[in-house]
Amino acid sequence: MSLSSTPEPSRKPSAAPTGRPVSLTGVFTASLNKLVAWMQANSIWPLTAGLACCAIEMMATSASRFDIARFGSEVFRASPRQADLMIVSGRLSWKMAPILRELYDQMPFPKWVISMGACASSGGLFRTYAIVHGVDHVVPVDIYVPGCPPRPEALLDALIKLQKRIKSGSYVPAYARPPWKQWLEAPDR
Amino acid sequence: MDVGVQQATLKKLVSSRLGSLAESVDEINGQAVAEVTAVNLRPALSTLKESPELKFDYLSFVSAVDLYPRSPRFDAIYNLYSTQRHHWLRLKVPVAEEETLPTVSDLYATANWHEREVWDLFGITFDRHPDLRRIVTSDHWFGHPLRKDYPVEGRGAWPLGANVLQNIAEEGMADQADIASSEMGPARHITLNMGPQHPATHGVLRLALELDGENIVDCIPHIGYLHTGIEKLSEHHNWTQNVTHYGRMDYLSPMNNELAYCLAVERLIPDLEIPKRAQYIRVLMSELTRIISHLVWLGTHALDIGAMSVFMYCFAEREKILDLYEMVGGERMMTAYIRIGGCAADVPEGFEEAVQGWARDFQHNLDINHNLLTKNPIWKERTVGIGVLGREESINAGISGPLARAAGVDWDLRRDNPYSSYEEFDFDIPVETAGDVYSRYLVRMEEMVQAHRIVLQALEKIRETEPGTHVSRNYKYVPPRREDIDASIEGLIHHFKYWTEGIPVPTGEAYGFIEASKGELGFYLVSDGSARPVRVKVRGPSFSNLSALPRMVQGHLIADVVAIIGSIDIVLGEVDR
Repeated sequence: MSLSSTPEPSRKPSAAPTGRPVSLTGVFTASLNKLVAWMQANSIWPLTAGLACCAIEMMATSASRFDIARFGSEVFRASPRQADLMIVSGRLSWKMAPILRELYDQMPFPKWVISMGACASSGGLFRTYAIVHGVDHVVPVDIYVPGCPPRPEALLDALIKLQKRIKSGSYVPAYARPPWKQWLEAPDR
Repeated sequence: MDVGVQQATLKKLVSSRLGSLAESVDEINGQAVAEVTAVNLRPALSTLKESPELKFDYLSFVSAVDLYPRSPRFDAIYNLYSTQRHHWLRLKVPVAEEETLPTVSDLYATANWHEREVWDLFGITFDRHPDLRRIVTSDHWFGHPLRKDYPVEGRGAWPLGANVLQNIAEEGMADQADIASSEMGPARHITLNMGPQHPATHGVLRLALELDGENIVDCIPHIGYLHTGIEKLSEHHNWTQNVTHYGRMDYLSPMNNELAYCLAVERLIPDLEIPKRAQYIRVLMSELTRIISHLVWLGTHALDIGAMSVFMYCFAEREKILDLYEMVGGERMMTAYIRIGGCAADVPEGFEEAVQGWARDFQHNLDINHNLLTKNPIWKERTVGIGVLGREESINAGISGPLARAAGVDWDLRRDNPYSSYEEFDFDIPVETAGDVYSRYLVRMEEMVQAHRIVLQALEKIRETEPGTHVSRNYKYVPPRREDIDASIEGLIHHFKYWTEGIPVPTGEAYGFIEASKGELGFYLVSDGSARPVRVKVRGPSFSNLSALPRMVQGHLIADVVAIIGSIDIVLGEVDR
């Protein structure tokens, strides 16, 4: 969509994307912030960083029954350079933790993180020596999804919530809030 | 032959063949166990392997038990099986803390990774092992987690910061050094790191590949990126709670794991009868599980090779079986439905019709995939003759399941060592001889058809049994029903004891095994009579199957590595545990 496109004749004014831009004689006007937010929200590309059981539910979410494509997120990217969203799906071991952090660091801004499932959010069932008890020790998390594993509907709900936040235009991602903000701006980093 | 008679003759045969090499040969919970000393270990294993009547050609696992404060502290365990005579034997070798064991990785190739794991988790050293490095924990780990003096929650968090990246860089250089030492040197060869975040490694597997052009010269798999400490955690939860861990281990076939664990526990408890209805329900669910596991394998394997639509078809079909899971267990994946003594609940009303409804269309839906792939020239080009592993080599490498059957090993535990009433079912076992990626594909496709057959038979058999007998009534080991709690004081006491103390599993040890979707899945349990196990060793099929990857990929192209990994059907949760 461009700022001065001519809409198809059949399209009614109410079909305007966020409801806010007003269509007057074939011209859309919108504040640039909101327009960018609208585009970001509807094309969130997740990173394929499956870790454990939840990754299978993540795959089920992207398959035919739940069809994540309805929300514009079917383009799972294998390269972090092309991804906006990291879905940490499954338990994170200490051995994997630095790699996950590196993947996160390689993603371009703005970026968001969904912590999917009990293990990712808190270590869950596995209170052992090998597991990080909550991925928020390693990456800034925007949304936590409960469940073991969460149903695909729950993951879609998290995605929709994230879209709403992004569309609002005033959402500050987790990395730009304390304590991550201070850590990112620390001089020794 | 009757199983009891078989065991007695086996015991006699083993003691006569081993002679003075064995300290003792016993039968524990219906399984033959021989005790040997560390000095006699290698001669004993060679004898057992070569002897024509015994033919223990397959080493299922090597593990250890920490029996602190006993002296000597450890028992090393070698679990043997004969793929021709179909009998089992466990060797037990007492080892003191300062003692070492001889490696057996030249006799059984599979021992290589298993011994590394024992060294990593217990700190038992193996003399002359070709590559004794840590395997599941990180190279920078301190201590040996499965020792009894290692706390379950670990010794504080790992330092996260700049030095972590430094460590990774060093590890990468160590790989380079490993590979540079092999024949050609780094001048012509390059090292390629694949994973642990890679769309085609089916989880967090990392491969260091040495390449000559695009040809693979060497491959070093690095595992442990999903090491969870399930075996350690199991020692700290009680027997009943432990069921919940294992579904999360091989998360593609949760009920298979639960079944293997419950069979092992039930072997430890001689006076626990499992009603027929429970056994049939277990068979039904375990075959449905085999199908969903194979469907995920097919979908992702085809996706890796480039067929996107197969993935969609397979997941659509899988959703229907997950609905059946949800009917019986209340959740889509981690149901913990199979419990010690039977199943958590009876099958609900309408379940039979639901299964039949699914079964009606299944063959048709499988044929869609057959039509897309089986005769597809692109598919055959990518799979025929790729990743070949011969029959003898597979057995020696500890490979089981569809992988072994694709290489001509006619062995299926459901037929050869039946459990859970499998002897009453009528099914065929597909065997191929080529041992390549394509024959693995054919074997798994046929296994789904056979599983479908078993499901329908199980449904018939369940109908003939009495509803409500889905679980044993031995309330020492099974939670009492509501009406029994209300009616008698004994019921109330049992209820109270069960939920506060847990169940008192008799002292002893046992190995329970099943033919899971990926191969021989077994649980080796040691109990000291308390409510918590002393040791839970999980023999995951993926672990042994994956250890043969370097032999399969040699001389192939990078694109073939993707096809070969897909054909092994690994689940990293089970490899790393």
